[in-house]
Amino acid sequence: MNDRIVITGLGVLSPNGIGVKKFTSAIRKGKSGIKFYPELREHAFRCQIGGVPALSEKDRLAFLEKHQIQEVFSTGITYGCIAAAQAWKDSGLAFPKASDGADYTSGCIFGTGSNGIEATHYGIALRESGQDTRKGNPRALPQAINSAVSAYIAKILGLGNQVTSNASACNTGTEAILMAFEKIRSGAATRMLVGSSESNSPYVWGPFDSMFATAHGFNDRPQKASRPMDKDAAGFVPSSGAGALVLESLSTAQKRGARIYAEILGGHINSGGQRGKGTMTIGNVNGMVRCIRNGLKSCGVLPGQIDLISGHLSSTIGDITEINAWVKALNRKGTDFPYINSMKSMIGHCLSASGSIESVAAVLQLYHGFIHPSINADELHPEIGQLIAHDCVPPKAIMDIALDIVCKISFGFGDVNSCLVLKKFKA
Amino acid sequence: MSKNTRVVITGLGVCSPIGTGLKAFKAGLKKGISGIRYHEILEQQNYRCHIGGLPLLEQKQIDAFTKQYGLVKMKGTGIIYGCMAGLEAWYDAGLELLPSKSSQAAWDYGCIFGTCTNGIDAIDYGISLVDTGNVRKMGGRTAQQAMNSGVSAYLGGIIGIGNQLTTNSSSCITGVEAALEGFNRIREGKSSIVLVGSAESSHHNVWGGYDGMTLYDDFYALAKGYNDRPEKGSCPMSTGANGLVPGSGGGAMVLESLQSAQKRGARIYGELLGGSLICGAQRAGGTMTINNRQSMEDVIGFALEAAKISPDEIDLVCGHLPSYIMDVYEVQALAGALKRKGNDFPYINALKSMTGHCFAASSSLELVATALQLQDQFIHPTLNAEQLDQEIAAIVPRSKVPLKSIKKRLNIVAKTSYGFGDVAGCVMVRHWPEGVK
Repeated sequence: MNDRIVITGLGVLSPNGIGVKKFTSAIRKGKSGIKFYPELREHAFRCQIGGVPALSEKDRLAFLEKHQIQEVFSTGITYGCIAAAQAWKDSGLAFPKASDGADYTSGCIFGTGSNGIEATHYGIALRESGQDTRKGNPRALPQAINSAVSAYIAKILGLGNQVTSNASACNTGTEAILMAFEKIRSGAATRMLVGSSESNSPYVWGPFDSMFATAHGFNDRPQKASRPMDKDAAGFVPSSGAGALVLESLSTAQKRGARIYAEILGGHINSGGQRGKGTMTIGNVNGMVRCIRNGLKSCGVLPGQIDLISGHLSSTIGDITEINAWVKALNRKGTDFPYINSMKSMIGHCLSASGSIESVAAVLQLYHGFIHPSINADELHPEIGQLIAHDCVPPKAIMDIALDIVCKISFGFGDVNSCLVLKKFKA
Repeated sequence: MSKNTRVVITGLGVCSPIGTGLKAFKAGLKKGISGIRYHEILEQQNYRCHIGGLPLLEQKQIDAFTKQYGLVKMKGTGIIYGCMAGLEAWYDAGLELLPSKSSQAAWDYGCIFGTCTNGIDAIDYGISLVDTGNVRKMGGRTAQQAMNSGVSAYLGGIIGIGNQLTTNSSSCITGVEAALEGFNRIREGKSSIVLVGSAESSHHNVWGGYDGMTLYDDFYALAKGYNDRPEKGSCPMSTGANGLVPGSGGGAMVLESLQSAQKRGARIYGELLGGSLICGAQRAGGTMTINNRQSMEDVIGFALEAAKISPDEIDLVCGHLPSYIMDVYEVQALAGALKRKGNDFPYINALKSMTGHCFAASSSLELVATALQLQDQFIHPTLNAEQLDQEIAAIVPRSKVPLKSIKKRLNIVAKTSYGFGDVAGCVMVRHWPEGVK
């Protein structure tokens, strides 16, 4: 049962690139995907910038037609299905025919926080328009259900093991990976398609705008707005997209001669209980420290072995808490601190999708041996600068570096945490 | 810890159309009352189906609850139901809330609490403000209620949960899935106690969506022709079953390792033996809205295997039974998987005959009902099943579908659950003899 678990396929729809190839090139270059959106100004948002994957209408329609799911109009479901199909193909797996049975050995955990938003809006608009509510589209409703994205993915890929959608706010993507890891390790499945997605909608971003969580003062300089760890970080930049990974047992992957991107060693999922300084919206540092320590302990990795941290780092006050947690958990600081970078510096905060897109980035760095830049961290926030050297935060990509252990961490509303430990694969 | 860790149910909580709180719910189950009523707003909105099941709950109870737990500007009805049921289960298990001034969380206690559409109340509110250019008036409490994990996030904060805190979502099997996920966490030694459950909001848009939806061809999802006799509308297994009656509410259980329960001297309702969660992948007749019949049968077989029990050990099936053609498919799947029919068929009942279909909350409510029936050794009635559907009657004799509650020695109950997306779940629960520690 205690087979090793590896990653054999990747898929991504990110504001700075769609597909593994374009995404890899974008993150090497430090390309920002943040833009100004006039629609947000019309809606009187404070923050009028964001990140949206550049999916063309032509590609969107072609995908839906190919997989016979033309009724899908939720952006989050569309992103999720495309990322999942990319990962499946990237893994060298075949797309089953509709006449094939369900594959009971392969499942799906694909999370989201609010993919149902478009279908919900559709229903509300129909009601409020005074039109006949009986004339609605009968295929709209299933898209309002939070698990619709995993249901559509299962249909496309013929998945017959557990098929579900998890939700733990911005922790969702990383949590999905760890939950699937446990499924395979316990022998309940041999392969899992995992990931997460978030819809592109002002209705998703609106509540964050209203609570002053989003970046302010950068509407005229969108690409400068997301600046994790920087002294001028002033809120996160909302974005959307999807990330997907194929996880499988090493024996299955080897048997079919699959390319192996990386090995998952372990990790930990917990909550800070909204105790200490933790609340619904701010993490309890004790929970974070414990999450990191238990994550390492679960696979016997020592703090000194970590080469790179792919942070949660959203460009908010939370960055300081996160660095504090890492320094305390690893007992490493100053120049001894590992490299750390933030994917959100380029693409903003993809909310539920963030953990999976950033995990895809972490895996790519490990596999290809590079560290993507953390842009806009021009001058570290003084409280961060006291703890770690600026050299640990690369402003430009570091090419050709041998990475062995990378940690990916995610946090979310509700004071929830996930820490994932990835290793360069060696047979 | 190992696969030998036994997992027991030590707390229950419920907020349902036939009663809020365990006492009222149990009394409702035994009496066989209906929670289905006519709702004027549904007629005003010009929906086809004007009946549904809302939790029996007065506004002043809600106000007192939100005040007691500091749930400021709480709009999410499903979040309230989930928190009410979750906290009742927590206290019922003899557990306490972690003091708010503690800097550590309850690291060994987790919570997996599912939903499909709990965010709807906050989303509806948010959409109207965004559309009118008033996004800034939304306030700071909307995001956490609009996100799907709102219910677990609130429960986690109130209790002080320090282990995994998450929300699962798999349409109508959400409750059974949460229970099995909690079961796995305890089995794997990752947690000693997990609060599991699920909730669904009371928002007419949730029901309205189903109202406009077809399940196959031009068969609309909700019950037809019962607007003038609401209590007859939900009639699983009957000839009159022609669509589900929508409902809402929340159900919760505290799952615990036997070791932890015994150490605390906790009361044990029953033992969770295991189960299975699969998907028919929308193949072989399965679609987004109707299940693949092979997988409906297979999930029962996998659950028997996981629970290490034989088909003849099952005394009662607490069915999914939503009150349309799926009832027939489910009974046929049971007959196929258990290889039992006629007088040999186990007892079977449908909570939805009383509460309607509470969607994501349904299988949690049905698990609470399962645990109560095991504890008190009775079988709750299935309302409106006087005239069994012909295809069901060919498998199940009249006597196995009690119309009134009966006392019965029950050892093992199977809880089946099916949902949109062609997902299937089945879990086996065993009686825990009183006095056994």
